[in-house]
Amino acid sequence: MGHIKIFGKTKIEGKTGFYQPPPYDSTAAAYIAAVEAADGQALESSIKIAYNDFIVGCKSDGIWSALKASCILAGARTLSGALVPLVGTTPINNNFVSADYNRRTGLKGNTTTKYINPRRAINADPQNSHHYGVYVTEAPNLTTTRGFIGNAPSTGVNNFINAVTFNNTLGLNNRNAASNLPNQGLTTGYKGTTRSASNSWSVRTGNTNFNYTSASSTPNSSAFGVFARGTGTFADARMSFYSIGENLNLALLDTRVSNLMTAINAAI
Amino acid sequence: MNLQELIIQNKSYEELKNLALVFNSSLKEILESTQEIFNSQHKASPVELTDGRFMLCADLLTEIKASGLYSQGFGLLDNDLFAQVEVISMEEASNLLPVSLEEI
Repeated sequence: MGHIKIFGKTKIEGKTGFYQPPPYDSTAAAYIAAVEAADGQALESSIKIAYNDFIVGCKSDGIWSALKASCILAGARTLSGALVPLVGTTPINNNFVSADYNRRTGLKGNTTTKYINPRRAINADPQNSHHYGVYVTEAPNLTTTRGFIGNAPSTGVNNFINAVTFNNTLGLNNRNAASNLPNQGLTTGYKGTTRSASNSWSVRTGNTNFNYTSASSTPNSSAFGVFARGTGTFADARMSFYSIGENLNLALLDTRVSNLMTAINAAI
Repeated sequence: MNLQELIIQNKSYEELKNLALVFNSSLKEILESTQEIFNSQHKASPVELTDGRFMLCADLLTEIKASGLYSQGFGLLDNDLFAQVEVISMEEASNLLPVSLEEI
């Protein structure tokens, strides 16, 4: 029997007027239930479908299993709901308040105190198979360096994505290999980096991949920060997604996250 | 102004986010030990200033009432300590933050 999506619900052909919820993927169903429990209220069908389509799409693309720590910081009704992990351990919210959160556009950082601890160490993923990235919906106020994600330990190997004032540059370090992309520090959209081999890594920003051949260094166990590098160099950007994990196709993830944000915006 | 006086004023989020709560290391330790009593996902995490004191953004006060994200920990704090927490502008506090080096 065929199913047709109508206004976020499924109509079973031949049974006029009878509707039932769409059959969500089991991972999506568990995530949706956890978000609704944290929110204390049900989500709209359109938001649930957006979450489901994202998860099913990532699985179909073969990138789902590479996500090890991730949050969708949009769609949920509350900040607590937004901080339900899509994958991985429950993150720690440091100093964010409910008013910093917008269901459509995500969570707004500041330049002084706010960051998320995703509770994942820099070396939790293999040295030569790892990724991390964020979806920026509002650029930071770039008066000094602003950290989107990662860590720059005082001793050890750098792994971060940040914006610097010089030429509004997006600066990245991937296992100590550096990339500096002028005029990408203030752009919105997906920004991520991935490494697939000891001498092969990529950056994605502005819907474009940048490929590099510089070698990796061994990371230490310092912790990732989101809206910061570790626990400092904060970013007053607004962001609606982050993920950390193993190597994956950044263009595919970018497309999935961008489609998710478009769907959430249309739904609310 | 101190924290006790600020709470009474019942300021909005927009006003509070431009203010900083500044306190000494003893109060920071009390704050941290209080938050260790329960295992909340939401933590008030002070940032160290260059003068040795610690700082939080005052917008946390929007979450101290019942069901607020930080209400559990706030409820366990000794109110008598609030007079020891200085309230200054966030601009003033920002000038006391360690400066990040630009990395190109």
